[in-house]
Amino acid sequence: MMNLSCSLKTGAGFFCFICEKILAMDKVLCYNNLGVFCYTNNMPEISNDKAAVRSMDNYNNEPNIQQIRKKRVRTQQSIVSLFSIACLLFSCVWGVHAAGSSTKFFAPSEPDSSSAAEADTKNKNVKKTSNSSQQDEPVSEEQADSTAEHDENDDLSDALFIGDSRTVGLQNTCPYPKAVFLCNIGMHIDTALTSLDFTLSNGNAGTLIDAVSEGNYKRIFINLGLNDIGWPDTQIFIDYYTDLIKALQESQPDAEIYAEAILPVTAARELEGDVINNTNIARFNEAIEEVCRSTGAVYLDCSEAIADANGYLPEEASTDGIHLLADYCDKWLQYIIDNT
Amino acid sequence: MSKKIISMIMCAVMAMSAAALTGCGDDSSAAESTAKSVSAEKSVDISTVADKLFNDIEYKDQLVELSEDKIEGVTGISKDKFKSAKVYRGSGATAEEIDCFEAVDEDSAKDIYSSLSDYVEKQKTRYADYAPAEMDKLNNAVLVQSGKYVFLSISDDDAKAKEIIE
Repeated sequence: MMNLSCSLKTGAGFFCFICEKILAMDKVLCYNNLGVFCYTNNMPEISNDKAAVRSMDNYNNEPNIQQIRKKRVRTQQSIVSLFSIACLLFSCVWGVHAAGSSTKFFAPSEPDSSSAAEADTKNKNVKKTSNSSQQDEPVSEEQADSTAEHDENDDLSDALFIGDSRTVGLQNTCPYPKAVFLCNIGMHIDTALTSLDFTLSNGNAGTLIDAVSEGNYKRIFINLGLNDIGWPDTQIFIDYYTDLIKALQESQPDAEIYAEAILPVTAARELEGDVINNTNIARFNEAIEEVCRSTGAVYLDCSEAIADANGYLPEEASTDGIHLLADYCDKWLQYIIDNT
Repeated sequence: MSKKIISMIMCAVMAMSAAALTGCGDDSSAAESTAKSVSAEKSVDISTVADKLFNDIEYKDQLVELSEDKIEGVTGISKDKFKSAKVYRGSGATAEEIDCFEAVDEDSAKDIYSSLSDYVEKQKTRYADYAPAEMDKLNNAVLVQSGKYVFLSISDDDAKAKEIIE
């Protein structure tokens, strides 16, 4: 009981002291579990519970109850104002903190926002694949920005790419919109000059050469042959390839024509046991070299940009062992830019 | 006098609290309200649809988004036919792709639909010999025109694509 009395006395005294000093109050109403008592500046110090009750009785006997109520209201207002000030302080601190945090998102000003956005888009939009754990890794920033140390002035605006589905993949990832692509899924060397598989500027269907004639190019890259490596004889392949290059030279006499080596496939793809293997690819690449020697075209072997130490396309470079994924297309394209 | 001061302080506190709570709200709530207002105008955010097709459907190939300045060159659809577009294409290994267009008007949307329809037919011819396994996807390609919007989804999950588009 003594301890309780002391703590009540101390707590009430402290609260009243705060109110009195900070809010300059004349009287403060305090509450405890023994009932209501009043403390004023002139009131003697409360020594025990009985004194508190006695004080209350004396106070109740005073005639001006209205004044007591006013004081009570003022006390309540003071408590509310204290709480409001605390909230205000909290809001200010919170606001400053939140503003400091949000600036992190805007702080780094990129010197070249377009290229940064491009790299960012590459990273965001690389879709995970379902059949390879290695392919579940998103393209790293380093890979996506593989052009950083190379010829950045070459926008391929004078370049034409002709090819099959691998070139279709290259077109989809190529970051240079001015480069022109005339490519189709399953394009063969024997029908390259005759197939009406290209839409001309007038909306009509036309041949490859019709489409080539609509532009003016300085560099023409051919990537064909993978769909033909099952042929037993390379001589027919050589003949068709030679005809294609001659037709292109006639259509674009100022252009340098690059006949690309057929890129390798993965070791896993080779194990499937069909005609698509690196042995056949090497055989047809020799044929392409021969065509280049006879026509004056440039033989361009980009394999070193994408192949592993054993000459295979790395497994992580493709979903089917043949077609290059975005980061390997970047390497392929960069090799072309750096070597032409 | 003191009542007035207290009232003013309380008003200031409430106003600041409301501002702080609004400022700390997630961006998604803002996006949500935008989406609702867009919905009320019967317009469609093609980017959202494209991304949903991209994220909610499993693809064998690795699809990449074409930059806006490449869409005309790759799809053959003239820039003056569409207001906005989002297109995802693959490595060439499969026929999988996503094409979403908001045409400038309904007539242009019909032209885009026609171009994409022709394109799908050509792809069928090409893949029939080259990769017959892709023919199911092409035969079940989801090509939809709704007002000035045109959507094409070529995937293994045409039911999901229809659900997203419609």
